[in-house]
Amino acid sequence: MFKHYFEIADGIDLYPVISLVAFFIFFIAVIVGAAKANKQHLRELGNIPFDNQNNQDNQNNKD
Amino acid sequence: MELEKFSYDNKIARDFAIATIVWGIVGMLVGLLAALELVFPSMNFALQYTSFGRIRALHTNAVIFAFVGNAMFMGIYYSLQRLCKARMYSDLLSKLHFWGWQLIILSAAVTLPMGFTTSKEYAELEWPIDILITIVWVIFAINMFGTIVKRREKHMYVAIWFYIATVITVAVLHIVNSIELPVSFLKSYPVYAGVQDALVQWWYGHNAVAFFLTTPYLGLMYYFLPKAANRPIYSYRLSIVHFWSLIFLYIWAGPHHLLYTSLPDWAQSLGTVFSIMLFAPSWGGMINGLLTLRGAWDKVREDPVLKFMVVAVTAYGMATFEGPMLSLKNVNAIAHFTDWIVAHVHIGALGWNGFLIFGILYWLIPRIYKTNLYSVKLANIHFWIGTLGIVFYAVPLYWAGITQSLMWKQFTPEGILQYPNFLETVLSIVPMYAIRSVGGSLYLTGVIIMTYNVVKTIKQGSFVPNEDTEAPPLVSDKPEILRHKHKWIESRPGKFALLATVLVLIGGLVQMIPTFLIKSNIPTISSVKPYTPLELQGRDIYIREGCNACHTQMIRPFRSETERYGEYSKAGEFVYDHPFLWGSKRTGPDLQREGKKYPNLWHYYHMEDPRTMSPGSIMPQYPWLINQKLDITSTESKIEAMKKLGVPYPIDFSKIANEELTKQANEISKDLEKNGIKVDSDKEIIALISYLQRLGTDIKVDNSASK
Repeated sequence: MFKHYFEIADGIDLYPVISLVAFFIFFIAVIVGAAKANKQHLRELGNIPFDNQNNQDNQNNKD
Repeated sequence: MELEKFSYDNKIARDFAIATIVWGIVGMLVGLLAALELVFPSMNFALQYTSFGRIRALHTNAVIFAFVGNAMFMGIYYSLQRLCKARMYSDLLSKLHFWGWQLIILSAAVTLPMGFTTSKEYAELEWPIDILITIVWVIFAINMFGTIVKRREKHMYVAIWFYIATVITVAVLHIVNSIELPVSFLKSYPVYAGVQDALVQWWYGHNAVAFFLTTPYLGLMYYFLPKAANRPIYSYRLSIVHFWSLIFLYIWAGPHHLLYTSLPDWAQSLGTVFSIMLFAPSWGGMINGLLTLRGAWDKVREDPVLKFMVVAVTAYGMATFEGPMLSLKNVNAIAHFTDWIVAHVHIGALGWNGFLIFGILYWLIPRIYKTNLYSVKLANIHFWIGTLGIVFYAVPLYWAGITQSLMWKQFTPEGILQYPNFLETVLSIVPMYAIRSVGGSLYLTGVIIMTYNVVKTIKQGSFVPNEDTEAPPLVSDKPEILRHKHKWIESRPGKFALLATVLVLIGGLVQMIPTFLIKSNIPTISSVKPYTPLELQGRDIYIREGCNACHTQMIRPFRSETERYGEYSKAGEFVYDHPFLWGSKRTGPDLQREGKKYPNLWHYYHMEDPRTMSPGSIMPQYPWLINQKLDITSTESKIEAMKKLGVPYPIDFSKIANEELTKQANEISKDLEKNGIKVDSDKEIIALISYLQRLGTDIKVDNSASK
């Protein structure tokens, strides 16, 4: 069944480097993507919870 | 465009709301009992079912999975329908989810006090319940994705992203960490051992905090905070960055629970680096929440819903600042194994989860009952008493944690430990434990006040089980979608879920593959041998009683620890430990080198009543170990299971295992008799003593590591 150790290999230092590079690329992509997003569209998205006028949720806070 | 008429299912949200209140009170009561037992050890009434080691797991499970879990489902079922402009996919699945989840909680409430536990923190439930959890979670996932697919709103609001990430990641975590080999109906061994088991467990444990206590609640924050403040989230752009960087980073940070342990160093460093980076998205989310209230702070003064939410988000900010700090090795060296960590998690549980839940309940209950809150004044009283409760809970424990840790590390000018007796460091912080239980009582009092307020609100209102509404159907408009990348992904739930899964998996795999595959990561030690059958049975009693809740088996490579406990722990010492028992908190001393430190006689008296050997000790008594007969019918199957997992017992050893067991047991009982104690060799205490006497002795024999 489950073997404790398999007999491979060196190159352990590679893993932290992979993780750093992967995160760096991903993070930059997210920032660029978010920065390029259309402002009007973002405003619409942010208003999704308030869209439905028939819904009693949308009444103002009772205070 | 033609409007479609449909209705929202309020009943399911209401049911989960009631469940969260009921289980919340139960979970907190058990927590209070556990807290009191640390001040007055006799509070367990010398009963095994209420001893600290067992109810500590009951408390954490009840609060995490029953209180926070039910509230999560309440919030998701309420908000998901409205964000998707669709009723839940299937009322039947909603019902199955609700009752299945309550059944899981009930089985936990029965099995944990009876001592059926895997010993892995927040994953203590045994394998049949693990399977039930998987089934119920799949039901929830089908219901959720079904609703998302038939939605009438093209775009998935950011809250839904957090829900999707939660559903997927919890499934992955639960399955990977629960791979275990059943021995009997309620007993199993994990397939991982030692260092690997520890890594998997804390990858799970850390991400249970991330994806059960954090991401779903961030989703709830993104829905209920804007609703309560009646204004949209401060920055939707920030929420995009918040989401993707949070789910990508969180999964890597697990090893920060294992700093200075026998885990390979590179994995520890990886955990530290990602934990520190995690600070950024966490605070991004907190700032996004708080700034939503810009221009509405006057409302916060009057509306208890917003008060609760502001404190919740602030507590989230505090806990997520503290988390990265605790991941720094030099801070961790002081804080780890102490009450500092207990304080830290309670800022999260009481402040972030608890207060967000209370805010949502005060907002949601009047709405689904078409009425106003029965008493705003009582809600305000709850807010203040709850806040005081958190302060009185956390501050004494921070104090206790730092005090005790510094006492552990204090040397005299001559270079010997100033407080060589561990008990002395415990006794100095017992008053802090007492104040902590006052804090817990205050918090619980607030919850009881809330319960009264909610019941009164329900009584004066009239429930709307199905809330009628209407919305235009969703029409596809493909060309427009391709214009913006993120716009593309956020209206495609399938691809979105896939990307989120891949991101989550990368972190887990990069950590685990090397630890599993590379031999050089765990140097083997030739003198480390498998446990004898009696020791194995004793070890299972140690697990049953939850000894690892208070005792670690992990001596860190500090002079203060090697002076106190002996040689520091080596990865190779744990290769036969299914499961690992490193522990995470030292309410009592470390036991890694306990073997042969004291005579059998000492352990016998100490287990019967710890105060006879260590006056003032707060450890529970274990009189039942002396009366109960050891169940040796399980020995053969346990040895067989261990063999399957790779423990090198000789061929056909399981057949003669009980002979070996009896032989060793007789030796111990003879030794006890020589010292004036008459006890039959078939009692549980004998097995436990044999295990305790074995602990850490393998490398005392011969210190030759093969590598």
